[in-house]
Amino acid sequence: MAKRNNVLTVQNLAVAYGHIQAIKKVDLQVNQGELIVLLGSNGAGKSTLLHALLGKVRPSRGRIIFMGQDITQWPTENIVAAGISIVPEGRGILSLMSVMENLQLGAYHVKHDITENLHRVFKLFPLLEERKKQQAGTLSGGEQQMLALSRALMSSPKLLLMDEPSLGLGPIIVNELYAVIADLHNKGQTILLTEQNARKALKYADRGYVFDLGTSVLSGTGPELSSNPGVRKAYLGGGD
Amino acid sequence: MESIIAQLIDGLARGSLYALIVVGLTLLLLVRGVVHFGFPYIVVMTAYLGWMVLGLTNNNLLISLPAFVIIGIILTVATEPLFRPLAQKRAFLETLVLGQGIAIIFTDIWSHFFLHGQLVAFPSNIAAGGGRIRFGMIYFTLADIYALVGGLIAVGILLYFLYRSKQGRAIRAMAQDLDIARSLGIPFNKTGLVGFGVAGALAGIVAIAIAMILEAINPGIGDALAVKALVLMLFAGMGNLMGGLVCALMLGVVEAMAQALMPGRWTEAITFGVIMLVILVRPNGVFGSRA
Amino acid sequence: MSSAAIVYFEFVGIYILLVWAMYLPFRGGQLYNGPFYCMAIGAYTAGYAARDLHWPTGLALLLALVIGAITGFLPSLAFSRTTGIVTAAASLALIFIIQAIIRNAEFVGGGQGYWSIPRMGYLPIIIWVSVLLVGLFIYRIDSSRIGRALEAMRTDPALARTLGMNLPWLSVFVMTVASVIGALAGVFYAFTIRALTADSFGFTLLLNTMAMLFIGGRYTMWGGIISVPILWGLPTWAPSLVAPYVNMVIGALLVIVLVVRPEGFVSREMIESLKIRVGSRLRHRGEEST
Repeated sequence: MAKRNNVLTVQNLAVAYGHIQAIKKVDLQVNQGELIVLLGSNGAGKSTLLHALLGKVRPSRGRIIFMGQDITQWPTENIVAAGISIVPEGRGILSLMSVMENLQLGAYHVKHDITENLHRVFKLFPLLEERKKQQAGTLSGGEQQMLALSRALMSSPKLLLMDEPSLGLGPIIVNELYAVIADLHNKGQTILLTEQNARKALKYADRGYVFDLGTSVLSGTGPELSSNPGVRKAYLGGGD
Repeated sequence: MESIIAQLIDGLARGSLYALIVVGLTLLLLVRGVVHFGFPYIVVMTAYLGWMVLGLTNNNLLISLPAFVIIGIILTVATEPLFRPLAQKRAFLETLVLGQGIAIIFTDIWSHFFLHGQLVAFPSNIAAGGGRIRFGMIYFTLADIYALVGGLIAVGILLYFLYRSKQGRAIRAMAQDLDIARSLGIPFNKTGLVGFGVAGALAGIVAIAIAMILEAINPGIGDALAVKALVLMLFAGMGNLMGGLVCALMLGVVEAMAQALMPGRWTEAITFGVIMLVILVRPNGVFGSRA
Repeated sequence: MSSAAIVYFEFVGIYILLVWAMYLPFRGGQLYNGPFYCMAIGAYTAGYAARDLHWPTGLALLLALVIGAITGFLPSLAFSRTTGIVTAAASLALIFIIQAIIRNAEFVGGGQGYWSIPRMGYLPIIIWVSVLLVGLFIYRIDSSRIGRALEAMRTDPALARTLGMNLPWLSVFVMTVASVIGALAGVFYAFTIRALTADSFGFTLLLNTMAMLFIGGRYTMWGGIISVPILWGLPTWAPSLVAPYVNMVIGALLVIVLVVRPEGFVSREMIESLKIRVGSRLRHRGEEST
């Protein structure tokens, strides 16, 4: 029952690392232009799901359908070429290479000239243009996150994955970051992101899923999840 | 005075042989994170096969020189799949032994199928670069010039490839962080093949240089080059391209000087002794490791 | 028994010792080439003591072991503090240095080689008794605390250190033992061939031993027992058409093994499953007899 503007469908997914069942059963959908949030504590399986989407770990059961194609067994390079990019957990930038080189690598699969893509990214984060020759490892945490996001955008992905984008960042930077995410969302970018403490994310999300011990236990729209008392206690820091 | 200059030039030429091999090894280290101990043997095999091509084409340089490069690429790329399973498991020491396996096979092939292991001499149009030059009282060969200039150009092209091309960036990214590179969609297999291909082209060039500078080869030089290259890489610092290059040139000069001033087998012992002490005291090499 | 067969058995014993000498440090994660230069030192010491000093061969053997132990111990103090490829390369350099020293030492024949070493009585028996004793020793080490410590040093040195293991001394111990075994192999080599040249103790020897260790099974002491007789048997018993190409075969086997079955022929799984089968069969016998 796939909608015409369905970008990603995950059916009945199970992923194991050796004997450890990281994901027991997950079903989810992401539609065009949506901002989807995955909530859950550490070890709940959120990151594993993103790794499975990228083909870095093979599911033991289930299917992943992206833009109408079954990508479950695809190698990572094909998946990225098909239009999925990730902003990894902990930023995942290549610290010994320059800002510019990181951005260029984000466009590895882009066949045409990347000047346009660079312009767009520099408009979003003028700071990066200033520091384009600087070694990426010398940037601050927040700047690195901007770089990681920009790098992922260089390929104009059809689906942008973000693994715990606010991890390790101070509250002011997190606000700025989510302002950018919201802006991208408004401009039509389809985004799937995971967060542990997801107050900010739920504010902007269209829908969300709650993971617990490798299973998606709850799903709903942003407001529904925000007002759910169990969710509030577990993932929104209790108070308002 | 003149003889010293002549020795210097000779030493630099030999040194550029070592330098190019070290550069190739460093590239392969970047590409797959392994020390391809078989690479120097691939270089010598390319030289032997190139010698065959020269013989078959009546010493036609126009056909043979590109043949050297093509053979180098084919041989090197052919070994890439052998290293893949070990590289993925990060089995570093084992890859050293894999290279040794290649060493055993190649050395035996040369001992049996190429004049039964006797000295294989290159024809005069390639040996010594085709001629000797005299500069006042200093004699050297065209090969010395070709080797030095050609070596510089080769290294320059390699650096351009590594630092200004997409594939070069991909190789460096994989060397830095395999996981992130994968997440970016950088293909493990294809990038490895490209890296090995470039190293193979380098192998072809070194083979040509061997033909020009050494003028004759025997099965033993595989071992000699491999051990020196390995030890040079450690001395300079694993993965340190410029450091390795400098140390290789220095070794060439030291060898040439020592041969002129102090003939006998003691120089070999002393050179190895010094290198051994240095790598024990500074395991990361004189210029620092980048691996 | 034909003399070719006797020589075959002697060499199989020598190479098994060498493979074990490589195996021990490798258990701890080090590629240590000490056994080879100590083999040279052991061979020349025993040969010289027997021929020029006219010592009885038994005494020559003991002297060679002592000197081998010292020349193995001293460098290992330095080698134990470096890892992986640095140890391999530095000990490799020492092989070349020793070779160069031998070539320049006139009193052991210099470039011409050292000939006419006297015979050692009952040599094949002595070799094989030694092989058994060394094998027992290694078996005991393997299954003891030291064996476990070596395994820890190889797989997770940081963890080993936090567990209180003294890694440098463990390395020194294992490397010295390996060097002594190498020296022992050298003594037997000297009395088997009875003529020595520096060339025999170089890179080729290293490559061959490495090949036998890795093809046979590098994580167990039983690998060498299988690979050495077969790989050494090839040049001895192979038909004369094939015989010259033995090295190529060995090299090819090494490459194939590393790509297809990296642990070598006798893998740890194989040992474990054999142990289980033998263990259950012994238990059955025990139950039947009661």
